[in-house]
Amino acid sequence: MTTTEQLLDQALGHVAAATQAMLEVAKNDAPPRLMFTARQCLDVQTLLEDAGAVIDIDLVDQDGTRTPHELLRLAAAALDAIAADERPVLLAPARAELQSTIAASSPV
Amino acid sequence: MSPATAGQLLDDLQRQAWDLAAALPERRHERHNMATRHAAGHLAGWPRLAQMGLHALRAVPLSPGAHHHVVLLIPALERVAAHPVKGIADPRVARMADLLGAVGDLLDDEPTAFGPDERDALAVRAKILAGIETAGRSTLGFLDHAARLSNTSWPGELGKVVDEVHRSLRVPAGERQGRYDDVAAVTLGDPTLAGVIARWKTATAAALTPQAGAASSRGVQMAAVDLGLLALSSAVLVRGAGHVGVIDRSVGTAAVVAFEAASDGWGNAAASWPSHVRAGGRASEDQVTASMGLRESLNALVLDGDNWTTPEDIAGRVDPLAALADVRRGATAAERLGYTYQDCVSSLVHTEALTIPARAVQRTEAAQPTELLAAVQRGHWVPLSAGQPAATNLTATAAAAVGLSRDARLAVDVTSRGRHQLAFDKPAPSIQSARLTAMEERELTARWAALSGRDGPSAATSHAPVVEVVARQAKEVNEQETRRGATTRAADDARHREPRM
Repeated sequence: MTTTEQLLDQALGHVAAATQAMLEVAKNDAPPRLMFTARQCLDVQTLLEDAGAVIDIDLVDQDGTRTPHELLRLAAAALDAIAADERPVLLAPARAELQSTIAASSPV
Repeated sequence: MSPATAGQLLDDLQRQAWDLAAALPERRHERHNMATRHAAGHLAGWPRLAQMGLHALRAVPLSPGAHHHVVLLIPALERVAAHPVKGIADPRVARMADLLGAVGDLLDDEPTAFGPDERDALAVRAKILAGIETAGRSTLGFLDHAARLSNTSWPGELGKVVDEVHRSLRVPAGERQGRYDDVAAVTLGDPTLAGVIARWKTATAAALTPQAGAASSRGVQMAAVDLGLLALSSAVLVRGAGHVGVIDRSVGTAAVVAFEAASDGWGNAAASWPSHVRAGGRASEDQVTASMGLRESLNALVLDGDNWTTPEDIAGRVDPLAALADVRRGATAAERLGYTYQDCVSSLVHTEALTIPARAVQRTEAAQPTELLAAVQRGHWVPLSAGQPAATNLTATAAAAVGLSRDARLAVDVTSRGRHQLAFDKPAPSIQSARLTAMEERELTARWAALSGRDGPSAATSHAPVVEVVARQAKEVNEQETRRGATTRAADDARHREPRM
């Protein structure tokens, strides 16, 4: 069974991978909003760390097969898997910022 | 309301100086009375005017080697400044002293100017000198008709000031606009773009230079992303200014390309931070808040949904010239902050303040130290050594980004000089444009056309490097001005462009 700590760490790993992926492609021919969204991802990471997440190198997706948007959605799924009575107090702001970032990174 | 810029203060200085020279009455007695009254008011204001003039001149960021031509003026002004005079100062002279004092305060923290910046420093100094010279000539004019005062040491002292100022004042009228005209005392947190940038720069610089402990790696990475965002947004704003015709298109294109390159450079710097290389704790609240303010401000200005805002829409949101001045200030702030970023990264790397999971350390030697192997087994984090690829990548990308920021600042500074500045043989001092090859120029022209929705340059110019186009347009402007009988002085100066000062 996956613990709350593990889910938090998973979410942070996905967001970190999404950030890295965005920064690596945020060049001039990239969509205008991409660098703004990458910056927003850093906020999500900070908020997740405030909620207790810790970076785990094994949980940062580095195979590059998923898009940043998919990675962010996986992060959201990890947070949603945390039982309601287990949610850290500071998780809600992190999730709200994550949802906003997912919307900004939407390909359509 | 925008804060007064050094350029605006100096324009006011010229206006005050212009009004100093009042016409004197025809009748001798009346003329004498009026001249005596004016001269007394001027003299009462001169010590402070000289003092503030010195303050402003010393604040102009010229390197010591470039000061030789004011070497005789400085002591002449110091003598006047040390010569108190009783009475009430003429309000215009007092106002001029205030203005010079304010200009000196604004320019006080500008770093020493080198290369193309030196030309702008000379330009701003020329305006200061012009104000002092005008005041001197006006006062001397009144002293000529004020018998009681003309027998004092004042005519000699002011005459010396005027002579030395005039010798120093060799900057042609068309070259008197430059980057220092944009310098302003921007209120931190002012809701204008300039205020937002000023607040962000201050908060970020503080975060990158913590008084104790290591800077937060998250904060440092955030700074790199912000620098990239600012450069990218600046490119959009300059492109818009070029599209609506407030700047020369070739100069604008060179600046856009330079900003885009700087944005890429900062993107690379931000991406050089792996999530598992860390230092410090979370980013400072001040930095996060200021960064958010910057992002929101830029977002509102340059983004329209998922697309860049069109030049016409930008013009509807902000005055293009004011936006351009903000972009130039932003570029200056970014260049300086870039150096701070580079120092910060270098310090983090070389003091081995960064940590990395032991198992992520890359093998650079044949045998791994036993301590490292033990740390791997225990899942510990260890200091990142300066020779690790992750560390060298951080310092290399920082250095590259800083260089590109400087190129962008130099390229956009050209837009501060107006069309007159183009009236010279030398090309615009954009390192970026100077590096353009013919192929790059063709790509650039095509990109400009695509971005601006306009046709590229005319057939006559489409295959010429940007610098040649700029120089040719510059010559045309110059020739037109000369034909129109533009001031003899400007034409004369343009013909006698000797290396000076």
